[in-house]
Amino acid sequence: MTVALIRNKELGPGSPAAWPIGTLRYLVAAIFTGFCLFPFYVIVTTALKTETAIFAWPPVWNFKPTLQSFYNALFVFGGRSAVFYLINSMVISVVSTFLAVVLGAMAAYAFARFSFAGKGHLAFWILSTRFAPPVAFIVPIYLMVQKVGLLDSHIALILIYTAMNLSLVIWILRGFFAEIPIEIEEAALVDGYSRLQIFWRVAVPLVRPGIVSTAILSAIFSWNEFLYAMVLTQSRAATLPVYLAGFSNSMGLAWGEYMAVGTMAVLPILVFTFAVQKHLVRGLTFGAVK
Amino acid sequence: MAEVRLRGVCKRFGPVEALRGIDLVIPDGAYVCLLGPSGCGKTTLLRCVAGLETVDAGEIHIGSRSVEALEPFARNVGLAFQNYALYPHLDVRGNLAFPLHAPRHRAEFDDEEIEQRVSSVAALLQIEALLDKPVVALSGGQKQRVALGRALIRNPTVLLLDEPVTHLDARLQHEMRVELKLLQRRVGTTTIHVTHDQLEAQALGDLIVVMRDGLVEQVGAPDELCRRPATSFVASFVGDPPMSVLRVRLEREADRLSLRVGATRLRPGERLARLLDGIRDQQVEIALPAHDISLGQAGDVQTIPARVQAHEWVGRELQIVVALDGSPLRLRTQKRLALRIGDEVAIRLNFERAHAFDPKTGCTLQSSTD
Amino acid sequence: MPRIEFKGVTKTYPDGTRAVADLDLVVEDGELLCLLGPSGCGKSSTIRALAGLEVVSEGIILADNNRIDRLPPQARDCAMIFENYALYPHLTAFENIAMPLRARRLPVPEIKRRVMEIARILRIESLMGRRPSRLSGGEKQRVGIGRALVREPAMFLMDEPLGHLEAYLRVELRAEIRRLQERLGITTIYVTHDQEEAAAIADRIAVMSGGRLQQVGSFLDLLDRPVNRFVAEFVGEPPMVFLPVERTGADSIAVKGVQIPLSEPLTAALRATKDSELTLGVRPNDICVVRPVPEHLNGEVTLVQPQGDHAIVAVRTPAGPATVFVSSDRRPAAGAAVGLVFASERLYIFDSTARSLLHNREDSGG
Repeated sequence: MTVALIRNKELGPGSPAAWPIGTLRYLVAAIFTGFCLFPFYVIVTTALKTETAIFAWPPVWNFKPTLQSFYNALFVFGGRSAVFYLINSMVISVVSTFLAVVLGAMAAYAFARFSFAGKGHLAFWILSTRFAPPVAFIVPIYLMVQKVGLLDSHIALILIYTAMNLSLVIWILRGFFAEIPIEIEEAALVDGYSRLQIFWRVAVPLVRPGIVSTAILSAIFSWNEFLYAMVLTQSRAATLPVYLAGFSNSMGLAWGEYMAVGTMAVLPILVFTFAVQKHLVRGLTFGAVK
Repeated sequence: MAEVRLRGVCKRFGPVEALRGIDLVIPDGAYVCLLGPSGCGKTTLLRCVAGLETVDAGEIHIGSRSVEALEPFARNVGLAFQNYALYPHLDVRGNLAFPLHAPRHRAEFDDEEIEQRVSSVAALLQIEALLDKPVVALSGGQKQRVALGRALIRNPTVLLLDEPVTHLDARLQHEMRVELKLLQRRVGTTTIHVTHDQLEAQALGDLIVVMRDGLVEQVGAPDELCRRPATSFVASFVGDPPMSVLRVRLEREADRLSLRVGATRLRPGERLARLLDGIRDQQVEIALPAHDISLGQAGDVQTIPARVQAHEWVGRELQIVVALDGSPLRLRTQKRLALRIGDEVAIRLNFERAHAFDPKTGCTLQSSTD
Repeated sequence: MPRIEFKGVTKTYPDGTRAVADLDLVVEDGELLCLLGPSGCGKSSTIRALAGLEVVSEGIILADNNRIDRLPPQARDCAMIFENYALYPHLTAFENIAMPLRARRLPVPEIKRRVMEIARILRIESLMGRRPSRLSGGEKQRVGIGRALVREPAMFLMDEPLGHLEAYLRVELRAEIRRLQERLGITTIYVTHDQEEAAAIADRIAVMSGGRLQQVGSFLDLLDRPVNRFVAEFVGEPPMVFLPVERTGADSIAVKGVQIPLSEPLTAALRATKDSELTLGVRPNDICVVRPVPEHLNGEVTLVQPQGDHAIVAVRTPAGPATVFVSSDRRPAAGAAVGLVFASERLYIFDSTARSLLHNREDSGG
C-alpha cells in the first residue's frame, strides 16, 4: 500500500530516490502524530485504570478497563458533582460562542462590504485587543465586575468571553466574506432582496466553513479558559477548569478521578468538532462564478 | 416590455468619467447591443439601467416611469451577469425561484405559482432535466441558461445581458447566439446586450450602439454601421473585416486633387474627389472596405509598396495585414500565397466606396444622402 | 528548434480516466502546431506531458531523437505560457521577466540587456516598472510571453494563452505571437479550443477528441479533406451542415426524396460501400439559396444574422436545420420560404462509423 501511495504521488519519472523518501515522510508524520496524541492517551487510559494499575511501574500497557473512577467522580465525591461544573462550562461556552459568531459575522460583513469613515482604524483597534496578554487586564476587569455586582455569575464570563472571541471571529470572517464574488449579492439586489436579507440568505450560507471554524475556535477558547474563570467565579458559576484546578484535597490528588473528569472535559468539544467538521468544506463559492 | 430612454446620463468613479452624457432611446421590444472596447462605459451603462450604480446626472426612463432614483428591485429588470453569479448553495430550481421568494415580493406569488413559473422558464431554456442539480456541477453553457432563467422569471420589463457568451467555448458561443436571439423573439422583452465582439453585435442586434470613452459614437442597424459609419472609429471597429483607416495628405495641383500616402501619390477617383472638394485641411482620414484593397504587381499604376505584418486564414480566404505609412490595412484574398512576415507587397486601393473622415474629430465628411 | 515526436503516448490518471490515448504525433523543427479540440479532449494533458508537468503512463517523447519523457521539467528547456498569466504579483513586470535569468545567476547588466530587448520586441518597455495588478489583461499576457521568451527556450508551449482576453485583443496578440514565433523559429505547440484561432496562426493543426488524435494537417487540409465527422464539424465556422440521406441506388442518394447530384470521386466512393446509414455533409458557403421549387430541398428561414457584407441564415428543412452563408445583398427575410442547392463538387458523405467516404482508409493522419 505504501508503494502504491508513493507511485500516486508521482515523485518524478522513474527517479530512483522515490521509494525511501516516501517511507521517510510517513515515518516522520507518524512519530509526530504519536507525540501529539500521547498526553491524551495517558489521560484516557489513566481514567480507565484501577488504582494499582495507575501507579504500577513499569507502566502497564495491557490492563482491564474499569469505570470505577468515573463513578467516583460523578457520584461519590462530596460537594457538587462534576456534572454541575460541566453544565456551567457548557452554558457559558455555548452562549458566548453563539454571541461571538453572530455579532462577529455581522461586523465582519460590514467590514468586508461597506466603506465608512475610520474603517481602517476600527479594524486595527479590534485586532489590537489581542495584542496584550489577558492577564494584563485581570485587575481592572475584576474591579468592574465586582462594582456591577456580577461576580460569580454566568453573565460576566459570557460577556468577557464573547468580547475576547469577537476579534478573532471578525478577522477570520472578514476574509471569507470578502471572497464571495460581489456579483452574487448584486444579483440578489436585482432579484429584490434587502441588504440584511442578502446577509442572512446569501452571504452567511456561503461562508459556512468560516462560521464553523470560528465557532470551533471560540468554543475551544471559552471552554478551556482558566484565568478569568478562576478569578471571577467562586461556586455558582465555576467552570470545569476551575473545578479541575481545585481537585487536590487533603488526601492528595485522586489521579483516577482527576483523569476521569479530565476525559469528561475533553469529550464535549471533541464531539462538537467531529459533528460539525463536515461543514468545513472548502471552496463553497467555487463554480458559482467563472 | 417597454421603451428605455436615457438622457444626459453621466457617471464618474473618482477621477475617471465612465459616462459623459449618454442620450439613447431603446425601442420597445428591440434587441439592442452595446458595443465597444473595454473601458468605453458599456457595462457601466448597463449597471446604471439596472440600478446597481447611481447616476451622477441625467435621467433614465423605463416605459413611462422615471427610474434613476429607484432601487434595482423596484425597476423590474432582469440581469444576467457575465460570470453567471449563481447562488452556489442552491440547486437550479432554488436559483430560478430565488427572486420569487424575496420577502418584498412574497405576497405576489404563492407556492403553486412559483412552481409553475419555474417549470415554464425551465422549459423555455431547455433545462428541465437540470432542475435538481447543484449549480456547481453544471457546464458553462448550462450555467448561462440558469442565469438567463433567473433573469426572466419575474417577467422583467427589460432584460439586461452583460457579455453573456464571452466565457463559453468558441463553438458554444456561436450556438448560444442563435438561441439568445430566438429566445428574445419568443418572450418579446426589450433586451440590452453588452459585448465587445462586433460580430456578435451584428448577428444579434436590431440596433447596435457603438460606444467609446464614455460616449455614444453611433447608433444604427448593423448594415448601416457597416455601410455608413459615422466616425472613423466605427469604420475601423465594425465589419467583417472592419474597414481599414488611412491618413492621407491632400495635395492640389491646378484643379486636380491627389492623395499622398507615404511617398506615393494616388488619384482619388471622381466620387471621392467630389467629397473632398470643399475641404480646407491638409489631412484627411480615409476608410476603405477590405474588398477595395487588393494585391497588385509592383510598378503598376495606383499601387503602393507595403510590408506584410500578419497573415492568417479566415475560412477559405487569406487575410493579410500590411503596414502602410504606419496604419494597418486589412485585405482578403482567395489566392493561396506563401507569405512571410516582412515581405514586401504592392497594394492597390480602390476609392470607389471609400469614406472620408475629419482627422481631428473622427466624424464623417459625407452627407447623409451620399 | 527541435523536432518533437510523440510515440504511442498514453496518459491515464490514477482514478482511471484516460486523458490521452496512444498518441503518435510529429512536430517539425521551427513549426507552430496547434492542438485543437473541445474541453476534455486531452490537448492540455498532452502539452503538460511534454513540459514534464505530467508523467507519461505509456509511450515516449523525443526531442531531436533524444528521449525526454524521463527528464524533470527543469531539464527539458521548454517555456510554458498559461491562460491565467501566472505572474508573480509582488514583482514588477521587469522582475517577472528577469526571474528565469536570475535563477540562472546571470550577471546583472546582462539580465537588464536581455529583459529590455524582449520588452522592446513586445512593445512593453513603458510597463516595466508596474506590478501585475496595474496591468491590463493583454499587457499581463505580454509580460508572460516575455518571461517565457527571455530564456530563449528550445520549445514554446502555450495553453490557451488568450482565453481571458477580449475578442479584438485576442486577434492582435495572436498576430504578435505568430510574428514572434516566425522571427525566432522556436518550435511551438499552441493549445486552443477555437478553430478560428488555430486557423489564424498554425502551420499545422492536430485535432483531438476524447484523448485521441483525429487528424493532423494544415487548416485547408482539414477544411477540404476531413477524415471524419468530428473534424468536419469542428473545423470551419459556421459548422458543416449534416443531413441524413436515403440511398436510392448503388451510386445515388436523396434527402427527403430530393435527389442530390454528386461529383465523380464521391460517386465512386459511394459505389465502393454497401453502407446505407449515411449522412450528407456540406459547408454553409457551399449552399445556395434560391426560390423554392420541388426539385430542391425547401425550407423556411428561421433567423438571419448579419455579419458585415454577408449573413448567416438559419433554415429549417424537413431533413433538419441548415445554415447558409449568403452575401448581404441577397439576404432573404426571416420567415421566407427558400430552396437550397448544394455545390456538388463540395459535398461529403459520412458512413455509419462517422468516417468520410472520400477519405482513403489506408492513409490517415492527413
